[in-house]
Amino acid sequence: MSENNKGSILKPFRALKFIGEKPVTIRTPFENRPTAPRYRGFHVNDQEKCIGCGTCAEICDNDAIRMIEIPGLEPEVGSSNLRPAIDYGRCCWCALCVDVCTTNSLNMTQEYTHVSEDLNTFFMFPDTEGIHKTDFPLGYQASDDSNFLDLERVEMEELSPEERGDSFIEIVKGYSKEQAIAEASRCVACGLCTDTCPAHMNIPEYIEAIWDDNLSEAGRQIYKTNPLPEVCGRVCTHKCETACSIGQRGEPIAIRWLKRYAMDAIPAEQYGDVNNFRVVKPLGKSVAIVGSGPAGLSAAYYLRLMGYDITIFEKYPEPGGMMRYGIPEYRLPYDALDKDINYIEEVGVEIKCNTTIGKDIPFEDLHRNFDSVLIATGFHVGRSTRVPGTDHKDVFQSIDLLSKITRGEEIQVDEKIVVIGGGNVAMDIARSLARKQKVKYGKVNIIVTSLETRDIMPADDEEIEEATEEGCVFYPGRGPVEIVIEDGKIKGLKTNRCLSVFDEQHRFSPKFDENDIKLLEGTMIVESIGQGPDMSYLDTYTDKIEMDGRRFKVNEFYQTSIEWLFAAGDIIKGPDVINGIAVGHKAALGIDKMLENKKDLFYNTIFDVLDKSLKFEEGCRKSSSKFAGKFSPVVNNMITDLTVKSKDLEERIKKLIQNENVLIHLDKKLKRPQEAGYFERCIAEEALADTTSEKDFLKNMERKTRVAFGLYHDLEKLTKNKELEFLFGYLKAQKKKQLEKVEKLLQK
Amino acid sequence: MSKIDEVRDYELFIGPNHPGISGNFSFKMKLQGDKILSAKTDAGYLHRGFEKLMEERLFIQNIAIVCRICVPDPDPNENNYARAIEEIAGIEVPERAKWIRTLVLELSRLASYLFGIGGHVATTGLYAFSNWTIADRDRIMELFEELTGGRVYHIYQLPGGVRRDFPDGFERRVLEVMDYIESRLGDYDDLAINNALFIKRATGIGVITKEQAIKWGVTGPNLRACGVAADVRKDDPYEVYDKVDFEIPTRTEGDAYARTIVRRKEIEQSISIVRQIIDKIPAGPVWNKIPNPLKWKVPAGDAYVRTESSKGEYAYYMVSDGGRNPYRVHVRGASTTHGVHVLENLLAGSRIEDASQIMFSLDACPPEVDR
Repeated sequence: MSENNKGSILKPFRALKFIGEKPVTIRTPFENRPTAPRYRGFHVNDQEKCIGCGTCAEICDNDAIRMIEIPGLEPEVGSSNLRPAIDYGRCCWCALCVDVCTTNSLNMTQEYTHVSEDLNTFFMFPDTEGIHKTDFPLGYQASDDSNFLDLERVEMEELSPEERGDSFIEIVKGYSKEQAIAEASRCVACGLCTDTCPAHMNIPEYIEAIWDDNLSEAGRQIYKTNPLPEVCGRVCTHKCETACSIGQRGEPIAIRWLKRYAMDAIPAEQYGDVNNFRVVKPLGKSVAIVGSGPAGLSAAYYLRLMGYDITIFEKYPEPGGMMRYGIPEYRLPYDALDKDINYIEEVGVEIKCNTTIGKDIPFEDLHRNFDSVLIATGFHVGRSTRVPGTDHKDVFQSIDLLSKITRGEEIQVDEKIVVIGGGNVAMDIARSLARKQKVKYGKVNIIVTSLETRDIMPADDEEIEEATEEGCVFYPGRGPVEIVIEDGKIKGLKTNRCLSVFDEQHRFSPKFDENDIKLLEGTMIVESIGQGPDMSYLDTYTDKIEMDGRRFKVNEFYQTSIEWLFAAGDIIKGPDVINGIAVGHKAALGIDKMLENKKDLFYNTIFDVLDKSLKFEEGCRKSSSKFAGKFSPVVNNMITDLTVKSKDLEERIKKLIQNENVLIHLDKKLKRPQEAGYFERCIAEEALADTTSEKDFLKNMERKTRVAFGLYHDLEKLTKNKELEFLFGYLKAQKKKQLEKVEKLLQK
Repeated sequence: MSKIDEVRDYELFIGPNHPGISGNFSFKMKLQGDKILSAKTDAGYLHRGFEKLMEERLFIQNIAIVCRICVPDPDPNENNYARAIEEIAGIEVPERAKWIRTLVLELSRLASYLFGIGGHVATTGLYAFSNWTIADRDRIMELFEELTGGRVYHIYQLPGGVRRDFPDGFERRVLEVMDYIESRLGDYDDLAINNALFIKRATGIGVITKEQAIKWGVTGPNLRACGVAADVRKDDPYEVYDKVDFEIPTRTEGDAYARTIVRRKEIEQSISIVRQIIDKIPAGPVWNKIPNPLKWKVPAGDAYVRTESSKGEYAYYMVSDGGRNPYRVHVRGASTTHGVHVLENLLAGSRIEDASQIMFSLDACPPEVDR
């Protein structure tokens, strides 16, 4: 290889030495070459482990993964009925889906051959056996070292047990902006939380807004389904976090704290601006609500937005119900509660405190003076264990003591106290009394005992842990036998061991070991084993209302057997704030339905209208894309086209409704009955049936597109607002084009 | 007047499939007999709009796209993309990951050179040689398969490092493959490089002078074949190129033969670099975790990063506006220069039978031109 290399004529013939060598690449007969153990071949998915969160579909850069509904699979808490299916005409085997999988259920195999003339077979539904059920060894697999998800939560700063032990200052310090954004960035927006939340809050949406540092949007999203976010940001039982897909392998997103951060960061005076909601127009109808707890306030807020005049009657001096008189201040400061309630009052809800129905005002008067009545009076009467000695003067009900603490009344605090109960209320009273003891005696001596053993205690784990930190001592799994009284003074609580709390049918039926007796010493006993309602204010109506067991019989909108009477909150469905809010909201829709005498509930606010229209589009898109992999390229292209258009539409509508004038305009228009009719007619299209042939599919698509065309046509007609007219006109034109395309294909 | 001069001028459309280039690429040529009067490249057959696509996708999703910009040598793309993000976002890369990346880049270079010289020799009619080099390149593909799970598209380098560490015994197998390829170099020289017929065919063809090369912006092996010892790995060391010893082979002739000789010599250098890496690679983590890629905003800023790919200087200019997808990614591939401007200049005046030789000796990559 010198600079003036003339080369050789003979040397090339040395290559002849290879003439007898076996070729490297050709193998006859054909055999599958074994791959490396890390090969990225066809997918496998452990259907049992998979929770259908759709994160794989989200990260897929080719849109090759579609989440399809599995017939017969029921959605559960933290698991949907969707599972990923893969279009190998699109997949590029990048394995991002494997590295982002929340459960590690999705992996790849070493299998790489699939030959078929039928294109449909390339759209596959991976399970554990692989696409050809041949049990190929696993290839590229999820690895904890290179997983994309952030599994660790941004730690919430709290007061130490020493700092908080003797005061009612809020324990949780709250996230800073940086912390909140970091925590929000962990979310994969799977939406399993929304399914689990009783109020179906738009959790991924507001987390996304927090991450974008767009607090107004976060607030708007939160207020769509929850008018008590400061409260829920603190004391919600956060079932959403149990469902969180990140919680499958790591710590779930701190959804509750994020909500708290967003609402704390928005000053009270901006609430009105943040919420695009406006009272649509006064309807001249009034609703009375008895009780200002979560259910009552939630119903009041949403009814008020619909245009009703709302009056809430509250027996205590201040509104809030259990949120104020049951939950101690260290968990829910009164400022935060007031912030929520003040806004509800600001939109025009009247709250009459110190007014007891049945005493100050007869229940009958409510019926006479209001168009509808909602009762949401909750559970304010403590239940007793009724063991011998409970009639002693030093035996108290937790709920009475908590309420007295809120009202600032002096309560008895002994040096040694026994609390009976294993729920959150028991923790509340134990921890409140611990604080009082600490102040009075400088030390804590509280025994908490419950029938349930530690593993099945109904209280939140964090509550039990924090109570332990604050000095409460637990004796779980013990049943009260009697209160031992000597010389008129309580000596303690005699208990025996509880063998089981529930029977086989899961009914409450405790069994005890009579030989295992223990005396828990204390001079004051607090019972906290649950509460019940006091419905005496209903007076003669008690007999008129139909009952379903111990509760009122209600329909899906929480309407009782008396048409104008609705019931919500703990008396219908407990046991927490978020359930109260959800039930209240639904009852509000029911009241509206009853008063407006609507045939069906198509909309209540402009958001409902737009949501419905979006959902309709989404439905079109889903039912189209579900079959997309199966059909010819022409149809496939068209479906892709549809998908893009729908996405575009969503963005446009979202942007548009942020404009207040547009909102008010559309609201006015759509509230008129004849125009509402258009809308109802348009979306009264049944869901697409499952189709297998391309022809059927096209026919269905034609029908759907035709309906959508009609929808935009009518919406265009009833909007004389420039932007909206343009939007709906544009959409109409788009739909028309699509329709023509489909028709052309059908003719072929 | 001889008969050949009497042939009238004519136009010829060559492509998009032809032996001169590894990919779809075509030319409109004006010829007079066997003599090319002018050649106009007609690119775009592999245009998939990578740069625009990247603007629409999440930062993480683009790592599955970028490798497709150059099929025979995909890793410089991944490396550039990852390093551009790292520079903008200030992400540290673990030491071991840098060594692994360098290894991957060198293996990719080796594979690409084997493909390139095999291709060039094949254009002279000696197909046996290209069969050899491509079969030997397959050994490197197998190493890639073992390390990354993919043979051609590795999708392996992430911002913050690489996706997986070495599998067990990988170092040993890398060295085995290196030994094997080294043992084959003698055969290569005998069959093709020192083959008198090949030398006769390739010498003096498609000559670029040093001045022209600099003026036209030629880089990589094509520049080094004109006597300029320029190499990004030395001039602006990235990853761990400043920690390994290697030389930059050069030639002065600037013709097709010189270009292939440079590549042939660089194979030896790459083998040496790979061996040094296996010898010196430190232990440690291979990836510094990036935030959840579905909710990841790269801070606003821009970065220009470059690597020495087997084709020449290969650079990405990335701009982020602080959003979740890149605002703009510009790909500066050496192939646009070599495959369009240089090639058009070299083809004019050459003969039709040398056209594919000139093309392959420049080793341009059509998807990189089209990007």
